[in-house]
Amino acid sequence: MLQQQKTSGDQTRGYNFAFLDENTKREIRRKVLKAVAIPGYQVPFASPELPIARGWGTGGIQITMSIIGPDDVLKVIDQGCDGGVNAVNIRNLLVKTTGVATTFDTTVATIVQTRHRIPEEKMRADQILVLQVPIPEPLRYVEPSEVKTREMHGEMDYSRMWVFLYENIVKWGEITIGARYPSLVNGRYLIDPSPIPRWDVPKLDNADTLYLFGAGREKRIYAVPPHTKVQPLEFDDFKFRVEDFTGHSCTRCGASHTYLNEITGGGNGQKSYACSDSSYCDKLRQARKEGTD
Amino acid sequence: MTLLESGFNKVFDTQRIYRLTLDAMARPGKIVVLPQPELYPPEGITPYTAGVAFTLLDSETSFALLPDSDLSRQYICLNSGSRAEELSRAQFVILDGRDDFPALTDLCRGDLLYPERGATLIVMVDTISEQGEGLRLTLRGPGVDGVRTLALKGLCPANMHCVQELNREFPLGVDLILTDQKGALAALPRSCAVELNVEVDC
Amino acid sequence: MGYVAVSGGSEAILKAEELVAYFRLKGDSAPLEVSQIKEQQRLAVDKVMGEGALYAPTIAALALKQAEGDNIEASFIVRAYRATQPRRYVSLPADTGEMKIIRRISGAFQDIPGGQILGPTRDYTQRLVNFSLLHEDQDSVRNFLTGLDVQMSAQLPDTFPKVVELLRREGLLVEPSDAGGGLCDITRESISFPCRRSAKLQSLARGETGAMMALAYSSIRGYGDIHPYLGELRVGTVPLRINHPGSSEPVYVDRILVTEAEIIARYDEGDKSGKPQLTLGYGLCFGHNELKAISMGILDRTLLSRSPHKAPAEDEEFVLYHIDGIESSGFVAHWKLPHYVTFQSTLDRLRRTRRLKEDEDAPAAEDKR
Repeated sequence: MLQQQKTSGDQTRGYNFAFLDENTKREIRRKVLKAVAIPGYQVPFASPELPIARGWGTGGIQITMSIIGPDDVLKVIDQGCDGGVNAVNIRNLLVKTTGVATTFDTTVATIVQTRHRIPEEKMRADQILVLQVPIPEPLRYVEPSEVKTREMHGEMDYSRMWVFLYENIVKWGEITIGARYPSLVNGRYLIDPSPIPRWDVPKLDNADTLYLFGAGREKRIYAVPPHTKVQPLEFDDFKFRVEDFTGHSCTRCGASHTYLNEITGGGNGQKSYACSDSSYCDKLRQARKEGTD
Repeated sequence: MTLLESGFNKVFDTQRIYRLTLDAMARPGKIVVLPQPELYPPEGITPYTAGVAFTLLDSETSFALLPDSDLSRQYICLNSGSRAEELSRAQFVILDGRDDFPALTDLCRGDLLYPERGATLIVMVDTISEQGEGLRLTLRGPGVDGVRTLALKGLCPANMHCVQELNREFPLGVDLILTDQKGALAALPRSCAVELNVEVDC
Repeated sequence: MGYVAVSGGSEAILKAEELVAYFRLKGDSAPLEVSQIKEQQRLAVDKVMGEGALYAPTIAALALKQAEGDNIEASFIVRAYRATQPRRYVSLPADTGEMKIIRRISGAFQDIPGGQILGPTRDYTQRLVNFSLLHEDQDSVRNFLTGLDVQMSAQLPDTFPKVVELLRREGLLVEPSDAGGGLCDITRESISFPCRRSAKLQSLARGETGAMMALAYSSIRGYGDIHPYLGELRVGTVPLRINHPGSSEPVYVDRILVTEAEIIARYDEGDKSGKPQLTLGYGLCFGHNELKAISMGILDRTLLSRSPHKAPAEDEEFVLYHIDGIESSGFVAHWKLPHYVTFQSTLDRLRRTRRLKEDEDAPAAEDKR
């Protein structure tokens, strides 16, 4: 479903198109090009303040604001859901300042801005996924200093991350990192793919779509171009593993091939599961209903 | 004749040019077509090149021109706010691809800590096509599904050799945006492995 | 269920906004006038200007009203507003020697040229609740003001010499080794390390008072090597001037109220072959905010440390990355956002690890039987 919202004089009075001034947009545009040219490398950018709090998506928003045009169709999701309060708030700001059409349908959107999920439906070459990133630095697990992590990336010295993972396995028999799984891009730069679940990491590898990552508070932009190798770190004898939903399926649509949210509801504390990708779930549910009619 | 442009829309025209440029940079060898901008640059700069320049340059950037000319420099400065800089420090270099510019070896490639400081070249050539006349490039790497070919008429091979040399030690290097006389645009980020196939003298 | 929240999300936000306004207005009291906040809560306004990094008293007062007195929220509003303002000029360096003083003291010296001017300070009052303020009205205010004969400008000289000049003249003061490096704008480029001096001072000048105070406190309590003295603290207005293409002379814009603190401490990290010296830690912020200026001066000094084992207040990255109130409050608060997808992933790891542990322990349990 497409909701057309034409720019009215009232709606955009007093705002630049897409809120940001052109200087700010241009800086981000330049930095995004460099990020694409050096896949996985975190490009510093000025990241001036927005009326939305730091840590609440300003990086992703700034990228979207810098690339969006009046003919784009925008989808905004949080945890996979279009209706989450944060997604609603961000979508409102973007629509208020651009008048663009919006959609909940991943296949119809030209720009999808997301927090913590990659949509289940495979994205195409004519689409861009903009991811909101809280901590862009994968090496923060092992090193708090920006000066040191910059050097480590420069020299491609990721030994301490390997040691960290190895020590996890020795101690727990399992790697502890859930979301934010460190992955090597183009065989060169280690990235934090943002807090997407491990489920979504394989979608980055050799994709058709362009992935842009924005960390507003930390002031970094990075990118994974299409058809680029993305390898989550693993050992020969300890392979990368996605979340395990064996035996579970979505109570709304019946899917067992999607990332599921655990829902503990009702007085009896019964656990059930539902698709995290709400609009995909709606489609499957609709299809199931039509199938049985 | 005034150098100051007034027809070009700095908000919407630049956004459209940018999305096409981004698409090209993300998919090396993909040829996109820029809409003809309402720009009337002096001899030596095409309207399409000017459009790309005004999309990316402003008072926070520096540029150099090869070949240099007072008029072209004034035109770029006046309409973008960008300042002219010597070649080795310029963030953007606007280049006539037909001539041989050995000075390209001086371009900034960035460093291991800040590779993004490597320059961006906006290269003007005669024609960009997939299989047509001119210098033949075979492309592999991020953004390329398998292999891609690009044919560039009006690009001196020596310039391309220079660029390959500058890009020999990834992540250091420079990134190219190519524009032709009819508005076709393609991009070669430093991540792209470029093989030259046809040798001609310029 | 959650998915009906597609429209529920929008509704919830609108209702929340309504409730915010309701909670602010539901009392019986008359709506606050922005002028009241500006005039009678000037220290809150000054704090918000300093942390919002925008000298705009009316906007700051309005933000405080909008934020119901939440200082960090108000600073955030000011900061976001600042980001929308066009940057037309950069002022010429302001000389605080030109300051029209309202307060000027030194801790390092008993007597200073021009004298110690206490000005408006609560430093020497006893912190007893003043219940008479419950009954303040326009009449009592008027009586007080007409009874009081305040002619500050008539009594004080126009300018006062800088105390640190005395030390400079004696050759005791060394300039910070990181002076220079040119002027950068940290809102136009993100900071990198080692930090240029102008970037460091800008970050500190817009820092959150409490964070800076805690770090400065840690240093003077012993997590660090410096023993500071307050060379001079001055509060007053300084003139701002710009170069303008329409004039051959600098153009005067206005005066702004600032607080300046110059911290003096012994400097032992210099060349050991020379004589020991003192160095300056410099603090400057918008409005009247002494705790911040002093903390800033202390931190400017502690960040000069070249010790291989840095205390937190001596670690440039640690200090400069964690004192911005807008960034820190945003990230601390962001845990309120849904994280159930990532938490699901954590649960997955945890459950598997526990299963592995159970499988490990199971044979041992068998043996026990």
